[in-house]
Amino acid sequence: MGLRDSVNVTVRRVLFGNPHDDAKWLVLEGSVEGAPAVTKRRAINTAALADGSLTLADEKSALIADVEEYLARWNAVQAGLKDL
Amino acid sequence: MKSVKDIPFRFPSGPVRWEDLASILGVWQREILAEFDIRNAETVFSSGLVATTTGVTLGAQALPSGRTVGVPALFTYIGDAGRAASQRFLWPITAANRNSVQSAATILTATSGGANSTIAVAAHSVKFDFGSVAYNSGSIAGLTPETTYYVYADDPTFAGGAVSYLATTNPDNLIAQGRYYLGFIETPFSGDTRSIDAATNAAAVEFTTDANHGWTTGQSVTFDDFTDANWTAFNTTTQVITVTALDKFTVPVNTTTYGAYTSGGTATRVTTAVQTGGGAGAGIGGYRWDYVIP
Repeated sequence: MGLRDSVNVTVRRVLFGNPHDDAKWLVLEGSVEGAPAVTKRRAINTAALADGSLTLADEKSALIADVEEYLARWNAVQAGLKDL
Repeated sequence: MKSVKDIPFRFPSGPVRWEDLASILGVWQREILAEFDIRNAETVFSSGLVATTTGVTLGAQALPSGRTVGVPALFTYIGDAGRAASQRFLWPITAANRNSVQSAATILTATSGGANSTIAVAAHSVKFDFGSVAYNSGSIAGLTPETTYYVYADDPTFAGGAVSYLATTNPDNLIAQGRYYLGFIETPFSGDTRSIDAATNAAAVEFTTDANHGWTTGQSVTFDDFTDANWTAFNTTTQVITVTALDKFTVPVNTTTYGAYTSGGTATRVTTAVQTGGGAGAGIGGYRWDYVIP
């Protein structure tokens, strides 16, 4: 796989499929096409979103930053493999 | 399918002619015997019982009563030696035993800020008898500081990859089929900073904070922003505190030779100490069982 020129992190919501967990947790998944090793999920306590101590925008930004950090390392690994 | 006993036997009365006999036996062969021939793809046995070059075997449609998956598919999960051939049979942890091992000693880390804590899960793999399953990293946000959480993920087929890690304070919740228990971690307290209002010249200096600090003996603080001569030596140092009053604490530093404290200084509680453990591969001893089908 070649190196990626730009980061395009896709964020989607992951549902558990049962009302109990879906009410208690909001799970966001950040991924980059073609790099499954950097896919990360962030489970957010919905009570913390409701009481305002966390915001969805901040949590989404944190997830994207996480994925981008992993992607940078992943790209470095790919670059290293070119020399082998 | 009509039962054989319900099929009337038709044969003309009187002497038997060869042509009649051949016709009747022909019908018998085509309509009756062929119905039970497992090599005949049009019978009700087709795909249930299958002829092979060496005998007869169960086909894909050999469904156990009340089930929707055939016996051959089910048996792909069991090897010829009677051992489990699929991780579907495996629970990553059993009571006091271990049948899997995580690839890293520290998979969970936690941070706190304000009223919330976040647990980070590092990418790792879990080694089973049949091989390793790789799990992506993840995180859990919106948790309570100074609380022990048990971290798990539901992964019914133990396929790994990106899974949803969750945390619970009740270890009873860890026991569920297809649930992978990663371990426990105590979230740290949120870092908080107090200004220093007074300090003594003593063998173990006592500091007074601008308000009740709410700290406990044995915790650590990092000092900064001292401006008085000698006292600046405290800046960026970390000391273990002994609480002497709601707004006072001492640290084992001799300040008898320092000049008098006049102003300045802050103390910030350090938030790094957390307890972690448990998870797949944990437990007492190194016992491992093999999955032998009796």
